[in-house]
Amino acid sequence: MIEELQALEPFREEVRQWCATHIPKNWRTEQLGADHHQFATFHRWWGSQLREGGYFAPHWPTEWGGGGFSLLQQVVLGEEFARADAPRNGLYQVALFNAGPSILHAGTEEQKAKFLPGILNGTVWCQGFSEPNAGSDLAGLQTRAIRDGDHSVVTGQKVWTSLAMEAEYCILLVRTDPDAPKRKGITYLLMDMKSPGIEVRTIRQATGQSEFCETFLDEVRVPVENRLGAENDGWNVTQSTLASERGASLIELAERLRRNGTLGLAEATKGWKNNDGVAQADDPAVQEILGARYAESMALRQLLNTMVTNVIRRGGVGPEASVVKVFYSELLQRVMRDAVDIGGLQTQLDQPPLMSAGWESGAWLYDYINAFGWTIGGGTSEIMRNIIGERVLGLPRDPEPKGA
Amino acid sequence: MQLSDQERDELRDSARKFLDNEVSSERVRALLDDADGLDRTAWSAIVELGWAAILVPEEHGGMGATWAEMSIILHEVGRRVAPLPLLSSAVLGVEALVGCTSDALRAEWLPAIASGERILTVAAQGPTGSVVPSELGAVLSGATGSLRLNGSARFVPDAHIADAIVVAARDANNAVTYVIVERGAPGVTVQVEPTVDQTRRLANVTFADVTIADAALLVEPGNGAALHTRVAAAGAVAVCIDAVGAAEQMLFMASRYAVERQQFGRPIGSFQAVKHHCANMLIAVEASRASVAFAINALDDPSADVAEGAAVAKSFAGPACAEACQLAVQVHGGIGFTWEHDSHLYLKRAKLDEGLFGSTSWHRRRLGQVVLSR
Repeated sequence: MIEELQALEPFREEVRQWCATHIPKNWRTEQLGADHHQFATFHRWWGSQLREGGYFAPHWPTEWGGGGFSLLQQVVLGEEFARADAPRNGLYQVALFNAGPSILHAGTEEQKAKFLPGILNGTVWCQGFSEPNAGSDLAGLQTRAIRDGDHSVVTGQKVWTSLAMEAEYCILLVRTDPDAPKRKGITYLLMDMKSPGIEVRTIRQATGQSEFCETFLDEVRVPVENRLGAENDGWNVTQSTLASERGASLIELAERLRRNGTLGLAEATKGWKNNDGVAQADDPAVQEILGARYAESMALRQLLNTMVTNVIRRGGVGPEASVVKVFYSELLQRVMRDAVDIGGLQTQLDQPPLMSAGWESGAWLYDYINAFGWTIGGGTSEIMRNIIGERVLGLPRDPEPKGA
Repeated sequence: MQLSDQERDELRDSARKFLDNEVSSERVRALLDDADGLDRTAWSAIVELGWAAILVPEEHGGMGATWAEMSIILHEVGRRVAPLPLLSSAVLGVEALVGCTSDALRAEWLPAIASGERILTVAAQGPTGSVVPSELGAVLSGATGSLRLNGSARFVPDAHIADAIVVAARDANNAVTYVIVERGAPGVTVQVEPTVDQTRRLANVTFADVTIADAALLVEPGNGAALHTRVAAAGAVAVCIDAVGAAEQMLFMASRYAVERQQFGRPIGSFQAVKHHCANMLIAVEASRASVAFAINALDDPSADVAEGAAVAKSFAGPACAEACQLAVQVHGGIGFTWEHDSHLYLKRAKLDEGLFGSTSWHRRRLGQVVLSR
């Protein structure tokens, strides 16, 4: 892979130049304490910058207006954006990395023509998968859709629908056959958030912020032409589109963790003293912790390189994505936990949120709490370990509880 | 010469097949109490296969290959906890010579190592196991022409079967020099100190006023710092690769056992507590392999910082692989705590790998200092 990366040096230089002239130098200070509206406004602006630069949808094929970047180009892009400390492209994550790829993969030509240009122009999407009683057991979801002519009529409740209050569309999983085995009776819908019968309430998270929502659906009518894939085949649609698009975006996250997390902590440590009044940087115990976290950051980075190499050689991501997810999320949590200890009580003082920074805002205790978004969201670490045990190591599945 | 990806896969397959057949568990066990602890039959065959020649340059009769190839062999050797002098001769010995300034020593030793005719080892650790120059126990004194070696080096792999020993010695100012001494030279005493890991032999080597001729210098006196860094890093990475191989095999054995072993009327691997132990082992093995890959790339890249690469591997893979082996013993339950089961051989091997060439805490601290100095 090293040779191929060397060939991309001119491209890297191009991205670096773009970053140098387009990333606002003071976005961290200006966005500190931004409320929801300010956050969304800033992200819409940042999205337009990325669009002009050709970096908004680098992973999409050019025929649909994407950058058509190779996976390695995406790697370079992620590295350079992390290096330049670009704001995260947070508002459009679901649209670009989930809705878009799913439509590209499972959509009809009409659906592609209807939705993809909008996503490229900045349509915000949210994800309606989880429910109050369907978290780790996602396939147990209960939101019902009943066919009424050329519409599905949807009733139920979704939770953790990120940024639903901003979203214009929602990728929605609903139960269409309650009698089938639970994974076989799920359908994937593309729902207009302006439809009558939708009520969105924000959830205040443990950090005090509100990026997520509860979404109540009361006889919401979704036209049949907005069904993605076949009726009752929604589970397969979600499974087939998740992994490969995530590889490159995870490299950006890993680089942000290494730079702003691990190295950022080392930088902050230089200004801190321990309870004896000794510089934390001179404390051997602190040095040991920083070394351990740095080694783990490098292991993560190499783990992702291996994953990308495997994608290129074998054409797909296997269950090793679960290894990366567990390792990344738990390392993120460890780095932030250690920062709170090394930084001392001052890291526990309340400070305004910096949502655009993702998981490394520099408010260490908030970042620590926010890390649960990764150890729980997108499949808990425990579910990931089940997947590793069962799909990689071939261990027997847990017996299904009686009546399931 | 670098191999293609396909050739590397073939090397891995053939190494695995050879070791599975020739260095079985029975063979390893038969040598546990052997004085030399060396599988000479396997070693002769291995030399024929060219494993001792991998890092030896082609002009000295070697393969002139890279760490990418060497690591494949070391990994497979770890997988079988094989008692073979690869770390001592094919890694440390070759690295010391390749990096030395003496053409004569290179010409004398490298072809002999590559062909297996002779075994070399390097005494790079002091009495506490440290590789820090001030902590080395071998002391070089006198001027060129009348140099003398005194003191001791410890935890020297395979010194008891080596034809000669390259010694990392310090002077009064803690400047490092690398010198070579024949094992039987007057004043050199080699005493094996049995370790809990019986698949390897480490020796305490003492020097009583040993005469060092100028021809025995691998570097100008006091100019060995860079060579010492390289050799210590190579040793650290080599034992980490060995540990990844051992942990990978334990992961395989433990997962298989978790499928077969029944308790409460179901395979123990269907219990999440056990399943998650196995998943944690896999995460440890894969992340260790990744951290070690970073270090291997550094050893093959002339512009890279090999000490940092080695510290990353030792900080992560050393303890993670030992812990994976620990979990594997736990998953095996009572049978894993018996002598007849192979688990303990792997756990002990991984623990020794973790300890050699710098402790985990030392490497982490050193890495932390590097990060803080940026």
